[in-house]
Amino acid sequence: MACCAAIAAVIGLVRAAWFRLLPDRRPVEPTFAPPAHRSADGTAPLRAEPAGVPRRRGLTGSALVGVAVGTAAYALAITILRATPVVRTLDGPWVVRDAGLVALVAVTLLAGLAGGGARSVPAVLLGAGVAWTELGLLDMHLLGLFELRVAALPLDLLLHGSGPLLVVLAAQRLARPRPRLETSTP
Amino acid sequence: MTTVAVRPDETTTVLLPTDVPLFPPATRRAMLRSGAGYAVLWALGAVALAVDAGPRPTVLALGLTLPGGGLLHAGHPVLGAVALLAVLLAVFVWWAAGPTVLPPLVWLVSAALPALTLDDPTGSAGAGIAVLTAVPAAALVAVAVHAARHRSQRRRGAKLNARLAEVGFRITGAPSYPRDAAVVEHTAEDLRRLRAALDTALQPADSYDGFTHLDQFREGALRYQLNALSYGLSMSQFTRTPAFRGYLAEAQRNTIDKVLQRKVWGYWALENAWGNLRRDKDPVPLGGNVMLTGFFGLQVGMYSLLNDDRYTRPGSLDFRWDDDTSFPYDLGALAANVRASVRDSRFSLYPCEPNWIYTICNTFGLNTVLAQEQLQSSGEADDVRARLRRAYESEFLRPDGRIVGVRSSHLGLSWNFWASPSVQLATAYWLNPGMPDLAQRTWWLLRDGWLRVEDGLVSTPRSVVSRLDPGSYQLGTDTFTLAVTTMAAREIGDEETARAAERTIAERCPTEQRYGAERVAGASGLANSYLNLGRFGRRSALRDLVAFGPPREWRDGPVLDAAAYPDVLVARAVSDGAALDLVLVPGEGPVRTRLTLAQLRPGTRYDVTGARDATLTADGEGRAVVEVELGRRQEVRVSPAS
Repeated sequence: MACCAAIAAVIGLVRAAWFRLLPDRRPVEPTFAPPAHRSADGTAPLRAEPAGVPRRRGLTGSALVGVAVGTAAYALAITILRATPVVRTLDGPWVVRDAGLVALVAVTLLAGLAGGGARSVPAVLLGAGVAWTELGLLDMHLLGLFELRVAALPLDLLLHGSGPLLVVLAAQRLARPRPRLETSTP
Repeated sequence: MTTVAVRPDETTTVLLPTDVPLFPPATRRAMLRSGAGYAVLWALGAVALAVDAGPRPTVLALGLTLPGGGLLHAGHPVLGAVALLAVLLAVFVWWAAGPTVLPPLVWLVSAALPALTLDDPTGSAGAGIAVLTAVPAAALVAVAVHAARHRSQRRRGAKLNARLAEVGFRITGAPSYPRDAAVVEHTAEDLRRLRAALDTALQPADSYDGFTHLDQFREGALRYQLNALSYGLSMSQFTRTPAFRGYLAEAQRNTIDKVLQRKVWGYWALENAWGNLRRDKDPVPLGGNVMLTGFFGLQVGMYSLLNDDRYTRPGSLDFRWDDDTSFPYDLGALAANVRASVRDSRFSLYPCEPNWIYTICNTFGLNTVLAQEQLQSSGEADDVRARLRRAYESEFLRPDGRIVGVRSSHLGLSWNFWASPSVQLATAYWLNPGMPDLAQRTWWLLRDGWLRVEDGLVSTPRSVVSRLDPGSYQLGTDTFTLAVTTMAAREIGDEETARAAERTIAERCPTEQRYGAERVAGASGLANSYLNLGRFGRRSALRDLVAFGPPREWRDGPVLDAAAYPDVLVARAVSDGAALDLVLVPGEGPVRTRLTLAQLRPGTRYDVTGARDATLTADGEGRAVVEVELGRRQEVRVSPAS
């Protein structure tokens, strides 16, 4: 039932605008299910589907949720680090950067949740790893917003290396095939 | 289960309450509590400004007084506007998916970040005073507008009452079968529509072909599609084939099994965590998630009233999270949860998503209680109904009779535009089993201006909401609105409007056919399922099924227990308790096939017409098999041998 048609209408407006920008992303509306069969005694015929490429619904949405999670985690970690003597905060466009991070979290979270479907944990980790990597490079080496005061090399490796490590691990899990054999029973 | 000789219909007048306060009691309490909470934030800003607490504390305090207020004070109006928009966006996400923590979190971050990071947080006193004034001024304006609208609505309500006093609403009582409601036969078009639903429902448990996959939080979620699919199947069984189980009952069970899958109900773990700050994954919590328990409870209730009692057994509805964690319930437990939640709620109605109370969703909760009451009486249904009725007539009603669609349980707030006619339309249908007088009045108000029938076609004012298919969030189509119009009009007994709505759909919306099945093209699965619910309904059909239950003869008399699909399409199946009457149609051309009958009297000999054998004898379990040659529409009658 349309228990909240107003919010569904808002979602409809956002989706309409989105698909106007990216018409090829519009999903195909499902129509008929495959015809069902039952024998005279009420049982269903056995049906085996060949093992094939697993369905990967919601990968993009999961990755976007991952970007939101990674961004939030990164922002929190840097905020905590800046309160310690480990990091020296430098002058720079902090306000713009912070607003950007908030917007990035909001947009990716909304887009990721709107995608629906089951969440893929590896895809979430992939998105988080990418976000962590990119934001670290952006803050330290493009905007020059902070630098490490102590143990610069190991901490630098830890900060910039943990993101790619997460990406590699997540990609490995995503690449692992999952054969599927489905048999229907009455 | 109630069966009486003559349907005790009652004609009554139903006036609008004249004493709906500006802020009803529970709403007022929630608003005062929210206002007190905000007053603390406001006082922080006022004190910081008054005592000149220093630039950074002042920016923080004013940021807590108004989202973006600290930035505005410090001379960054654009960033202040961005912060305000971020909080509004967070409120929207809260509304959409229930993360209660998000708005305060974003608000806090938007206040703290500038205080910590601005290079020069010094601000002007004038801007600070503007920030302090903003929310109280907006609240005063909102209250003034609400008061003016309330007065206007009271005037309109008084005028409506003068006319309502002249209207006699016929409230249907317990039906007498077949006098009040004959079991009718599916038309060829009915059967094509039913086949589309059956094919969708008879898939293997882990297949979801034909379903829309968008999100699991809002109207496009799988659970609503499964609920609606099952409601349509149940209604077809109730009004056309109450003495047929077979693949029709299996299809309903399949939809129930699918709702129990984690991919359908698992959203609650997330919503409960970010909305109620609870880690409990149990999808049947006290005082929440009526969007699952109410909708699903009714789905299971309709099946149980028509077929068997398997879902009343303890643990029969097992919400399984993983190998180690499951939440076993049954229909009685779902109904008990609804009853307890109603009693526990200050508003009587209780939330779907954390904090958000929807009037439509709570009608499903009541219907769950009523359906369960037909099977296992708790004796508490009338109390629940009375509590909900008081709330529907006060906390969730405008003086002009419009039902308020949504209210925040934390804040007490609602949205005026949310008393939209679309809300009234659906509520009129689902309210009919439990509060038929309010349903009739709501329908009368809808027909009094919003819904018009001209030249045999239905027209509704063009609005975004009435031109929305919530099953796919597609705009620009009123198929869904027409589907709900058909449902409500037919249930209320306004057959002229129901037929007009169906004709409007037939003229406006093309259909598509495949493998003997038919659906409205371009409409979501949800819309097609509700089209079926409307198509298969009749006057007070939902009320008769949910509030009174089917007659004992239909449940306990002989039934067609199994037939081949789609070889045998069952157009009509009814029992009078002793004999069984069937109308069968071949679904894939002429066929010789077997029919399995059940609930016959064990060892009894029956006369058979329309089958290959003229007699049959029931086995010790009351079962028998007959063979039929099905070349075209075929009537089959099985009656005790004379």
